[in-house]
Amino acid sequence: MTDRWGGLRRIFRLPLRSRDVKGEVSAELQFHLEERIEELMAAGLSRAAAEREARERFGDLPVVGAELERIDRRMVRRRGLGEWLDAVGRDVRFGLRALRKSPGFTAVAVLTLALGIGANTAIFSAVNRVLLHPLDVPYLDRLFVVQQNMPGLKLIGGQLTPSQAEEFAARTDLFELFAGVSGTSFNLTGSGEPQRLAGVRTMGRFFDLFSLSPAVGRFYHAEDSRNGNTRLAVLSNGFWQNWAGGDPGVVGRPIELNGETYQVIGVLPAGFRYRQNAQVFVPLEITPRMRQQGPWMITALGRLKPGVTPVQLGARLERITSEWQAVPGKAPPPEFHFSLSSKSLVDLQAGELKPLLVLLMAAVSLVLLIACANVANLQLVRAAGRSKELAVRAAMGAGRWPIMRQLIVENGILAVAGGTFGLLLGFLAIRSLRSVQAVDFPALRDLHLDPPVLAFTAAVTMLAVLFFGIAPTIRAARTDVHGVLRDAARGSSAGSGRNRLLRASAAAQVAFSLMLLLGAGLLIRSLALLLATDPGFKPTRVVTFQVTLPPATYQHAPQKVDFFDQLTARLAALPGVETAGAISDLPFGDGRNSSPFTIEGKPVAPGDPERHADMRFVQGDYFKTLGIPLIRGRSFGPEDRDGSPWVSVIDRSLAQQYFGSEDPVGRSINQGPTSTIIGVVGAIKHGDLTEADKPTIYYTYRQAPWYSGLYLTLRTSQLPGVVVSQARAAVAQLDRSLPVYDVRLMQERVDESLGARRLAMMVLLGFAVLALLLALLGVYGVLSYGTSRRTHELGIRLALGAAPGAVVRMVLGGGLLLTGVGLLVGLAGFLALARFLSSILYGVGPRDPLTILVGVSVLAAGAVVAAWVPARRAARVDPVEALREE
Amino acid sequence: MTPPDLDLLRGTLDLLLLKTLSWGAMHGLGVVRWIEQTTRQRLQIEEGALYPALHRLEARGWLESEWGYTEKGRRAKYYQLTVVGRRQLAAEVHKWSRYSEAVRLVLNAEGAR
Repeated sequence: MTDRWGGLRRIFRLPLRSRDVKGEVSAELQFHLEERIEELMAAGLSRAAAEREARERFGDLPVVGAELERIDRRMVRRRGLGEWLDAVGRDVRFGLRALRKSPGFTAVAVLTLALGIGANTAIFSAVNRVLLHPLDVPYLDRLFVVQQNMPGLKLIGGQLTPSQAEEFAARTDLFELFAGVSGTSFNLTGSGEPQRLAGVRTMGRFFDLFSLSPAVGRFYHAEDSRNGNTRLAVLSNGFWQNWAGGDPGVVGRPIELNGETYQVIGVLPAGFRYRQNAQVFVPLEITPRMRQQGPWMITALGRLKPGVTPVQLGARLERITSEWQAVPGKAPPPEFHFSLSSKSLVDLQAGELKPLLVLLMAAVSLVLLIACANVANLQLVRAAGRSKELAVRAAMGAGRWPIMRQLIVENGILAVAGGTFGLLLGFLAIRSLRSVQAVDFPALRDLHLDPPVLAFTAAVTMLAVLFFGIAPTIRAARTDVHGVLRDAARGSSAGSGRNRLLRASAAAQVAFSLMLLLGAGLLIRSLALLLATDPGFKPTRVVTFQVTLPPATYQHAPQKVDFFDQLTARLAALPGVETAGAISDLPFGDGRNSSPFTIEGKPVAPGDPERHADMRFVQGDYFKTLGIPLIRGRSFGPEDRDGSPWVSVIDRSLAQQYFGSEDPVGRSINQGPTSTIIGVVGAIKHGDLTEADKPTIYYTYRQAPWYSGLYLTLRTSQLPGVVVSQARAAVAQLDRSLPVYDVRLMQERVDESLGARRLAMMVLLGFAVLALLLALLGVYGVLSYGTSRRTHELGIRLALGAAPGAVVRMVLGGGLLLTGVGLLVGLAGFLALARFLSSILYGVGPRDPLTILVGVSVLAAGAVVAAWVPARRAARVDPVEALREE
Repeated sequence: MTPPDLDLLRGTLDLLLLKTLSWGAMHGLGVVRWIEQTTRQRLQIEEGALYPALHRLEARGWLESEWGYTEKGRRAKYYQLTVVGRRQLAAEVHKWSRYSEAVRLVLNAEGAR
């Protein structure tokens, strides 16, 4: 009675995904009911009664139907996902097998990608740390620094005076939070070996500005200052660990700074660093005297009010500038043409690293593009070898999509492998950047593979797949089945379309790598010129360090003069020390001091800018120690002391600028004190080899002991280490409580001023070499692919009597044409972008012809070599072999 | 039609369906008829519960379904045991016999006294 065995004909079996759940359920139930009704009618029931009976027996039809649909839908969904995963799994297995079959291709592709991705990861980690997330602070993008500019004094981006800062702290229209910060340093005494601490004095709401909460204790506030409670100190977390061993009981303990007792009230959270190295934070006291004509010493930091844009900030600062110009006493004299401007805190902290990092980021992007072009090339070459396989698969019924999916999965495998190795390379690069450059660029000490960097790497990898995978995939999917199979049978050359794409991609690599090479070349030239620049003194064999006398114990001028007199005498007497001296502001040191001056008998012509010169205070044999030549007159001697007439030594740039051919010796100048010029010394670079010489006037410290700290300089013929420990002992003999700090060789200071350029040059050169190699590999690959595909044709040519030389010329010519096009495009691209380099070049223009000539020649020469190998191979084709091969 | 002697024990429906389909592909109504016939009408399947059970077994992968035509040319959905389903059936049968054996032992036990 049942149709258990018979009647079953398989009619169709739809894929699960497109199953019509609702329709099927209703059809199934419909069948059941109708069959039942028929059965009941056969048993004698009327149609209506049978229908009723059938429904009754079934139960609640709609409810059951709904449940069936629910069960089926869930099943379809789950099985659909399963099938998809199965398919991808098959593709992955297939892809892995295919890649294993061509290990050379796989290795080169993965390595190339890894280099590109690794370089990007490393540079981005620096960009992220320095430019994007330098501080872990909320509203970082709204933190701005107000700066003061006086073009007349060549002072750009200067600090504010205390009264200006107070003005900003009182205003509420620009910033919701404002703080003034003044860098300082302290002699830490009273606990073991005296130390020099880097410190910061703050006013306003410094700790709120950075949303800090204390690790231990509390922070000081405006109320503390109002209550006269200013001897309070907050320690950095690092210093707390060092000094107090991380003891929370440090709160309330006294700390002796510059001979004065402060009370420790709190510790900053770990991870917060202001100016990388500040160890002690104390309240900034603004005295009435500072208010009157305070020095420019306060870094003004503010968090913009929500809704105020940086542009609006600029406009309002301009308005404030003109308001202040109108109020005497608030601004410097009007002839100074001062103005206020702002800069984001991030940019300020990044400083010279910013243009550099932007350059390097652009460079690594080029490297990645080259790497992708290279892998795309390799794939196209490989796809040509596989076109038969793909065509057969297409002919067997594989649709375009499955073939494309197969290739996408293969590309994905390459990318994942490349990305993984790239991450590893990036990690290694970051580690070496961190260790090598930490001294020069403290910001680079904190480089990590943190989540933003990992996300970036992942994004770059995906982008890379897009770049290197799209062209080969589309091309493969367009494979013309008949054409390929016919071509293969006849052994003819590959389609010209594929060749065009290959050549374009190789030419693009040449173009990109030329751009990199030229950029690196310009930096090398700049650095070479810089290194050849004479700083005006001889930095070799000069040991330098600082000693600062705390005002509490050295209140009177004669004490200071006495101390440094004795110290320089003792230092000069050390074995191995040739001469010793001291100076208020060491070239390539931290500070500088500049003031206007007048020359007796040489008034400033109306309309001319005011005369301005750096002011330096010299002690002992400073000029001889540093190797600054005495050009005229004499240097300071023992007769120049307190009570004797004031004397000064000027540098050659001042003499030339204001005295011309006259003899300045014996003339009198006024820079605050009036003094008689007794000599002229050579001009030196003060902080940067790139800067122009700045007029400088030297005084003797004995007549002007205004500084409490000096840089000591020793010219030595001995190992610096030995001299330094003897020098430390000499200082300790005079005063046990004085720390000797900032001990460095003069040469190191000069070298470090080049640190950014040197770093940029090294890294960029590395990238350029990498790019060059990749591009040459590309040219080589395309040509040798071309010749290998044309073996048959070349064989015929040779058999018909073509000279091997002609074959070499043909292949070589093709390679050079491709290179030439790449060079032209690269040159055009470089010339268009070169102006962005100007800011970091020195002595060469961004379009320096010599650099361009050398760069182009290097690439062209490399390309000739890269083309020569396949050309030779082509000429050596054995016609008999070549023709038999098919 | 005589009323069924036995209510279907909970959980045994799956077993019966698997066993029934082990003879070959059948549509839902076929399963009902076959069970009723084989048990001589003693066991009546609740149709409202049958179809959800079939679909659930299919979702679990023990059955697979397919559209086919009956002798009378009607389009019907046929269910068939999968390899996994066959294995499941063996396990369920084993479990059922242990269970019924245990029940039988209790029922046949002599009084404790």
